[in-house]
Amino acid sequence: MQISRPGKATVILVLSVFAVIMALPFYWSVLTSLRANDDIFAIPIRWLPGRLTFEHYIQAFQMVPFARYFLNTLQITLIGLATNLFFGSLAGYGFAKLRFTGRKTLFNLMVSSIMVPGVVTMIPTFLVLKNFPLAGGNDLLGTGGIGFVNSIWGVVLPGGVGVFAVFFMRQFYLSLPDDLAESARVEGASEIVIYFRIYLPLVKPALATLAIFGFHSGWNSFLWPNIILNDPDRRVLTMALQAFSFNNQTEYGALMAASLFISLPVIVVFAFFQRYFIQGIAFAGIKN
Amino acid sequence: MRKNHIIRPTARTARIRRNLTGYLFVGPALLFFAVFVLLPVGLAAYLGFTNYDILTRSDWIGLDNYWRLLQDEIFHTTLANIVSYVVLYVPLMIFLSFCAAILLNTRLFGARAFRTIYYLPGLTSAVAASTVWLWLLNPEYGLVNQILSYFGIVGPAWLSHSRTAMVSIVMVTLWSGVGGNIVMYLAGLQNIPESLYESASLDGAGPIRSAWYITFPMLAPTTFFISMMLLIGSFQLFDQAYVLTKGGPANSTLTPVYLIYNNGFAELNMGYASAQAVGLFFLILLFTLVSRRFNREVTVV
Amino acid sequence: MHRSMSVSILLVLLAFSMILASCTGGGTTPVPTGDATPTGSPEATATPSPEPLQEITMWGEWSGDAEKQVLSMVDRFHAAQPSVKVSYIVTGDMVTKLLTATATGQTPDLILWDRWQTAMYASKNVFAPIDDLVTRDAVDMDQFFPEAIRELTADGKLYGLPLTVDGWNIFINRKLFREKGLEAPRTWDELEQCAVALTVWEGDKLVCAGITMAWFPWLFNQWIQTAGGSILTEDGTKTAYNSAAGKMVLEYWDRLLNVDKVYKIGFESGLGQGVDAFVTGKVAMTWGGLWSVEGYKTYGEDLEFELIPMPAGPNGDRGGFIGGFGLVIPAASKYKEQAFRFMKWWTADKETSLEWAKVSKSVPGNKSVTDDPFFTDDINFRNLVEAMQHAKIRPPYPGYSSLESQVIGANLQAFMEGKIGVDEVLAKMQTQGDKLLADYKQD
Repeated sequence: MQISRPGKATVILVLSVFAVIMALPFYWSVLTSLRANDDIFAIPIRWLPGRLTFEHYIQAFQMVPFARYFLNTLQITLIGLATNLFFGSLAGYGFAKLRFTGRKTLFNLMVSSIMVPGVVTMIPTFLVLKNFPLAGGNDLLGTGGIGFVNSIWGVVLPGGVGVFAVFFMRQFYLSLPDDLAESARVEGASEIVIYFRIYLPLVKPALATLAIFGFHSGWNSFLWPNIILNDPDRRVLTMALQAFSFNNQTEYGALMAASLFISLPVIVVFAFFQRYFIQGIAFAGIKN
Repeated sequence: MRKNHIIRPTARTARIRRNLTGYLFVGPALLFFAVFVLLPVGLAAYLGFTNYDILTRSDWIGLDNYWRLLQDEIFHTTLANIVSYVVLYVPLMIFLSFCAAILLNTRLFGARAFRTIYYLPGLTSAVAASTVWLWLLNPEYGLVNQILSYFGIVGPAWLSHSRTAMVSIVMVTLWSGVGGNIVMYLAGLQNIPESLYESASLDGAGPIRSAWYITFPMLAPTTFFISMMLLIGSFQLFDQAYVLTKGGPANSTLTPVYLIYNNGFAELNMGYASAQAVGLFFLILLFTLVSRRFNREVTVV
Repeated sequence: MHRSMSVSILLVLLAFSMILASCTGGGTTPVPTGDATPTGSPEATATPSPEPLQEITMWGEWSGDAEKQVLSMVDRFHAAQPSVKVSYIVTGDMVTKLLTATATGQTPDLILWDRWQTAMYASKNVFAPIDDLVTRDAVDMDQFFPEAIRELTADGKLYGLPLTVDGWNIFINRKLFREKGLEAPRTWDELEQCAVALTVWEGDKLVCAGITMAWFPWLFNQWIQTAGGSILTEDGTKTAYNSAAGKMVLEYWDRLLNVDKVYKIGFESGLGQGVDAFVTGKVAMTWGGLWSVEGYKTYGEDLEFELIPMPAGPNGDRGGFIGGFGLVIPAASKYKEQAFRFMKWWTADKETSLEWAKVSKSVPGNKSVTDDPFFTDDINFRNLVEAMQHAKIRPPYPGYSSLESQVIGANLQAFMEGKIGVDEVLAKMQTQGDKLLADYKQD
């Protein structure tokens, strides 16, 4: 979109004001992680750095075996990401572009299921994982063992193909014209080929977006890993944050240091996938 | 000709083929959905008719939980709270993230940095976010009231008065969620051909006109998706209301999901909690259907 | 139900697991109770000694420094009794985790337990009673704080032993008190006088609040005790706060807030989660317990503070709140004997209790050690021990926590905002509270 020069200046000004508000708490957490305890609190809040120290980072790394937790978290996040992107995109395409019996009903059922608050499905989901046939020492009837409890599959599977992913991809495919595949169909290409050759390359922005969200939510999930995983060696990073906040006391400095460290990969992923949002992807030139 | 005649499928086999292809695509997702979503949701709905306490019993008690639901004043308060939150939050969020995405999609100096900064709130630790927001909203020393005082306005004790607490929660959740929605709009914007704007600007349409007459209608599928997710998600508000105000003051920010969690896990009343969840489900469904209809009309226009 | 639920789960699962297994080539993981899990079978670690080494698992929410304190006690125990090995596992969000674990029989052998919900969980058979073991080993029950024992008892059965005691009392800023020539308040009247003297206004702007009133609505229980009343009737079925005592409390609060103006609603919210409003001298008196002490030491370089007991009411009535942690054994534990041995060692032994107090800087559930100089020489410990003599546990009835947060807390917040008067709010709280208790009693 073309904007005049003074218009551009105004836009940058407005965006900057909002950027300050958006970044303020993040900036505060950086400051806190670098300050000595005595300097953390002051009224009103002091926004200039002053005396800085790395003691909280050292303290955080001494308290938590980050390397192991990091690998665990990475494993869980990547598996979830792969299944969500692959199957989510596949199903999104199916719901958007293919005609089959029960399409509308099935899709509506999927979307309405997320209207049920997760707090009441937690116990049922846990029972499902525990009684899963042939998993974790279970027999064919789902008894005898512990199912997927205390296993990373217990963390990954319930969110393996999220309704969010399917819904999101469907909306994207919907916005693409139907006639793109016309000539391919005339030539007798199968739907699978059409999907992989023609449509999939066009939804890169959507896949990148989904990847960011998937990575972000997998990386930050706490509740479900905490319920499923008992073994300290299988812990994920978010569980480590508890070490700094307990019984109404908070080690603000170390907590901020650890949270910043934990959120670093998400920032990197965002920065990397961001280029897919930048204007100029081939498709933008296609005639409607 | 003859060959064609042989392989041309009858209407019936064509339908079967079509269905098979369709299920091939959606099958894996459906399988996951059936096992890890539908089954637990079904069980939860069933539990709404029982006195399930997670540990010792789950006797069928018919509609008892639902009768109790009808007379539960506190549950009604939470529903009223969440509706007032949603009607404020959802439109504001769509407006803000749409505007921001359009601005960020221009070839501006530093657009890349802005995009990252706007995504930061989602990455900020909840403790840091609540600490800073509590301070920003402090009645005596907070930045918000200081700015208001330059205009001669005496600002309220934002989070500590039942009239303003929910508005404060709206502000904070807008702040934390806007980045993600901007990203979705940005992704959607990539599908709009540049040529549309070119012809519009030849016709003399300014940036605001073309945003309203070209971009907004073209982004209808994205807006539809975002508004659905926002509606569904914001009705299930819990974390931020809990961290910032603990449901107070005077229950003014108490949300249904907080109440459901409390009933299910703190009071071991999972049966009743499930019934409350079903009640909430129907409220969300109602709002979604209404907004779908509304969305459709807007799109048609 | 678990049966019918299992059947329905099964049908869908069966189909799914087969597909999953064929897709991922055995996507199911092997039984994860292998090498690293500390719940191994006795044979695995057996040595040919008269008593084989037994590993037990303990869950607790204590992390960070507190985890180190627990582990140092575990080490001492291992040195004293080598036949039992305790693995401590930090467990976030204990209630959710314990419930899911219990629903499927995956519990540990011992839990570091916030005592207040004992009665509810005991009535659902989550914990194992320990009366027989206590009688067999002739554990002296008089050495513990009786209220803490009462909190661990349900339907006449004992479910655990207390590890720590603590409560909500008042912290005063000694420096500010000294500047105004004030003594620590012992009564409501003195508290009011101190608060008035310490409050500083600059025009419309409150510079220093005499006392934090933000938490008053949740401390109603102990306020009404000092006024000679109580929250619930003796049997716990009805509310009892719509009384002369309840009225006395609310009128006193009203005077502090609206006549004496020692506080402004929302004043310290945002000044560092309530920590630094006190640390930075913005409030002269605040509420807290021993758990706050470390925070004040960490963040307040120049802060001089003192913990004082809840002041006495107009008729000399005392009151307060006692809570804290204990050790309980889940009913599903296979090694109750070993778990009890550790529990007894940690709580019922005078020397260990003192050691524990020193390590954790807390008051132990074992009151027999509180005449040690470690407690009597420290003003904060001394005051807390005194406060604990008058303190009562939270009423152990179903629905009480909902009553406290949704009925009492919420209505009293409205009262403090000035939206409703004394008599109306008490009447409203009574109606809503009695209904809520009746609802919970039905279950």
